[in-house]
Amino acid sequence: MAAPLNSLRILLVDDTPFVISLVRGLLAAAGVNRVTAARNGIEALHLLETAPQDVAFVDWEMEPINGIEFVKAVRGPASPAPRLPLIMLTAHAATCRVLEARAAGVNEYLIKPFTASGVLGRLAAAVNQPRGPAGKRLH
Amino acid sequence: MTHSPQFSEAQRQAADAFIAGFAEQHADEFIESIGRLHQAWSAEPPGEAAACRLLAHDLAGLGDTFGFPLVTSLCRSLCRFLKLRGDALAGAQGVIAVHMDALRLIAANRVRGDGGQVGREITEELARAVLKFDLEHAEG
Repeated sequence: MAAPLNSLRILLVDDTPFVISLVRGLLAAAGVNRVTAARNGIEALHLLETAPQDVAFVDWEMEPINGIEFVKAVRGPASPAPRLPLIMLTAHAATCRVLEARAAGVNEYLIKPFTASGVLGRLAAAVNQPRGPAGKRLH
Repeated sequence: MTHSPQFSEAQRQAADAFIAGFAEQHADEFIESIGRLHQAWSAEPPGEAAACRLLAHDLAGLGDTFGFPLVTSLCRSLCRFLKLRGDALAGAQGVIAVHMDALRLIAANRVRGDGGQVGREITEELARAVLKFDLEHAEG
């Protein structure tokens, strides 16, 4: 049985403080309070080595590695959390971007702007219906 | 049967209320971030296009949330030109300047929503500038 959503440990990977505050706040408003933030992919990878997470929201445009490079590192052989559900949260709306993210191993893709239904819906979907690297639902 | 937990309607409403409150509370900071993009591009020497594109991309993602959809559409369009390099970027200075001026106007007048008449004028001027660029740089 899936874990209660309120107890999920959420990792936010985004270099925009606005976005961190916004997503952290909306999750808290929904009762999800175990939220950790990382300002970039490198910091997030280090964090995953010591602090297990249940789901990660990942921005695309970041430096020094972008969101896709972070996703590939998480799905890679040296990853501390290769099966971590990943939700790409981005302003990139083109279909080719969605396909690229799916191919890299993203589970859910959420295009900004932020809505509660979008964020909470993708979070529930990532937990309840995880996808494999090719985008196929695992169950 | 597997139980799939979902968020309740009350949780969604609470989260939506938070977003609305956050957008209202931080509107000034959002406007300031538009100014930072304009300052970066206008600086001497000008800010790097790649860094400006990241700023524009962030603004595109947040504009709708903060009630400034024109910022979202302008910055989406602007990112296309800030991706260019070398001579292509040099050739796009005019159309980039039109975007930057429009953003400055939106920030100065806090043009929310579709912006009414001002918004239409901004959108039309931008469309003309983009069309002119596309015609001038069409292949063949």
